[in-house]
Amino acid sequence: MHQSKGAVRVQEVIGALCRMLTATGLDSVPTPEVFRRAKFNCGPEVEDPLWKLLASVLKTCNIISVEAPELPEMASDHRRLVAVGLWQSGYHVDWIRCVGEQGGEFVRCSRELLLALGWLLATGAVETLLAHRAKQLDSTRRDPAVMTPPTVGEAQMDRPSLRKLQWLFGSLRSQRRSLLSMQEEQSKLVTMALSVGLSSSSSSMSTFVSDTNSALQEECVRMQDLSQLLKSYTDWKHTEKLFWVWMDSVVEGHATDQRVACPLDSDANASANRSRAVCPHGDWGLECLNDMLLGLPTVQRKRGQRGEEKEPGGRRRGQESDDRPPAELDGGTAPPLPPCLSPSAQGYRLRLQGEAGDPGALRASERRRLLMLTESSLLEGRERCQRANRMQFQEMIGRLEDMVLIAP
Amino acid sequence: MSIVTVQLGQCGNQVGQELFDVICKDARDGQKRGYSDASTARFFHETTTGDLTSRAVLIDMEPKVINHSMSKAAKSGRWRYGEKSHFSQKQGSGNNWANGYCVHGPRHREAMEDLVRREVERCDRLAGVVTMMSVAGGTGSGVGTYVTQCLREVYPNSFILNHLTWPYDSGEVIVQNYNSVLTLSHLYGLSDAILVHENDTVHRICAQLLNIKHISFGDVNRVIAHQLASVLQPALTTDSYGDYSKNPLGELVSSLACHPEYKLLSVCGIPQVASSSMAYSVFSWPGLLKHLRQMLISNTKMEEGIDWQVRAPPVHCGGAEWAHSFRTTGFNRSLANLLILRGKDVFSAEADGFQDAALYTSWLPPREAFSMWKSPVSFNQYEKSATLVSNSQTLLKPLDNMVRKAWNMFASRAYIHQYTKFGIAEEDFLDSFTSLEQVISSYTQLC
Repeated sequence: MHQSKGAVRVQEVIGALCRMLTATGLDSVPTPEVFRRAKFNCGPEVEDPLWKLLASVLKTCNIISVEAPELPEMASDHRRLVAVGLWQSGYHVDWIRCVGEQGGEFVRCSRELLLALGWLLATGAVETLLAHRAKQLDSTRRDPAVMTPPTVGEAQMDRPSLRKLQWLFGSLRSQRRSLLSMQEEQSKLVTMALSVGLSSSSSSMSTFVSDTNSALQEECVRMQDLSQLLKSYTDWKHTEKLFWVWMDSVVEGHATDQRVACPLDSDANASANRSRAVCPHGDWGLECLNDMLLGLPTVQRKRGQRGEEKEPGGRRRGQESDDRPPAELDGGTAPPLPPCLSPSAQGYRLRLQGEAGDPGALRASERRRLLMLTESSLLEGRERCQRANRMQFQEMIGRLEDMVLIAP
Repeated sequence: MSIVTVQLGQCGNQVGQELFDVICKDARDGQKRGYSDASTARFFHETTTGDLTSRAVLIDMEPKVINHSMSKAAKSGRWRYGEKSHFSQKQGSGNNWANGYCVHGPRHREAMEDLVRREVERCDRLAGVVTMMSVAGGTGSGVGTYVTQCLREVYPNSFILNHLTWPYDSGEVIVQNYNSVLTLSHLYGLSDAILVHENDTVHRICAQLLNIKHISFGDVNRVIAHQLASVLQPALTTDSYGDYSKNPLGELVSSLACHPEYKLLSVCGIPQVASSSMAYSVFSWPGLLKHLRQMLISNTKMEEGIDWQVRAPPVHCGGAEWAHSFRTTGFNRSLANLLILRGKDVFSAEADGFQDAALYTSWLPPREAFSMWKSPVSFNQYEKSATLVSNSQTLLKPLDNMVRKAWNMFASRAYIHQYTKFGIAEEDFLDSFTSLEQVISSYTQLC
């Protein structure tokens, strides 16, 4: 019940995104179902729409300048071009870096394409698409003057900075009034034109009237489209946070995958398992402990907030529990997530950047060193948690009669 | 975009009539078509017969001045006031701000608002409202303040520029300082910008520059009208994209008066020469701008008697060092300046001297503090003219004098009963003094 409710929320959120993208004039916006299935790598029928969407977004944002092909499936060359466009937008992941090395059919799994789309959305593509479409619909629109905000230091605001801010505020207020005045004039002119069109009955003016009417109708349609665009953007902004929570789950699902290529068959799975030298019976004890430890920080926070007993288990690796809304939307009192995990476009970018890395800036050895440092700090953190939990277990057991804890 | 002018009281109506005269002559006399059309559309409504009717509302509590202004306009043959664009009564305000603000204003609010609304509705696009009044009397100051308040309520998004004429220091109206303090304190919260002309300054211009022997109010009003017209006539601005600005008041306010504590603007224009000397005078842009810059920093309000010893202090010396430099050298610090150049070869004029950071306060860089408008069309028979609208410490001393004198009277409660009987309490006076002391403090500490 709880999961289905969450799934409905996600469906609505992705629906808002699709409506907004459609309103911006993009050609190939998939259905929300495609997005949902893309998370689970459901094959070419999901990958192709995402390729086309990526191409459309990159083209509209002027990152690439090739028309998306009319074929139901995008050609491999076009896919490579889209990949290059993603690279130029700053999405530096391994599969794009290796795009030149891959011969033949260029295939990526749908989840990777979904992540790439998330990257574009997080880097401001939405606003670019919005501005582009608004400019198409409203030719009288003027780009607002960009004002440089005052460079207020991290120290408390001093009197000159405050005065500068007051000045800027006053300037913005004046600009607002000027824009309102322009809008009133436009309204007056439109009203006058409409009244001329309605009241005129002279045959000599019929052509003018009909031309005026058709022009006005076109203008009306444009204004309606513009209103629709703004409405869909507003709806999207209201639900954007949920979308990034869902994308976080996509990132996590991707991060747990051990493979780079999309799993097309079970043989690949088996060979991957063999490469990891996993015991055929699995490492049940270690897995249980890892699951318990991974679940503990969340549980401890919940105990601190609600005073409840520890829940067994917690999130298991690979479990698709991501469609639940976050605790805060349940009305729970979960503490705020650290910035890198916060459900926002920026948090999503940070996480992707953490995964994608920046090969242009770091050499392989430096990356390896950083990764080693990160691994050691994470291991230290895990050991600390383990020690703390062991102490708690001992205290608990000490309070229970006739029971002895045998530590692993 | 059109400007609606509201002329209030004797001074406002007289200056207003001179203003429209100057504007109409300037727009019509051999000017380029674009400039003429822009100016005409901004200030006049053209009837089907081609007659120009000013976009003005005339308000006074006595009929005499309004009748005189209307007949003078009609006699010019170039333009006239609207037949029904005036409101007057028979009894006057008795040089009493409270009488104007508390009695006449509310009593005749509907009639005055109707007049303004009619003019506003005749505009395709309202650029804003300019009110013209003096602060010394009763109608201009009191009714003018009340009308401004009503305008702010009815047109909250329109720009309101108040043009004020400050009285002679040794004025005839004994309570002029009370009226001035009450007017300024109220207008500060209502107006977007307050453009000030001082009678004393204009009188000196008439005497020393224009060589007028027997100076009348008409001469003073013509000088004020000339300077005001040089500000309001069409010009090419940064935001007008090669066309005459359609938003002059908005751009003026944005350039000069964005901060709520700094709204006092002074006007200074050169050259100002007698008409008999005009034929023999040759001006260059570098010379004009050099003089104007020195007039600004030395706080000299006309070309004669400029103190060339005053220099801008080193950039942004603050605190006591700044205060010392101000007292000893008479340097006038600016918050923002708007330079308006009109005439021949205007695009060759360079105003780098006004972009010196040393002229301005530390928290507003010159690129935001300084603006320039240009018009390639000569103005009012001057081949080249430069007008500087300045938000600076220029008006600090006269304001301080005004408040000091008013306070000295208030301390002994002189003539207060004349105000309290109309509904103004002593607390209202105290509030006004407090507001203006804050303004004085803000300008004093401009560094």
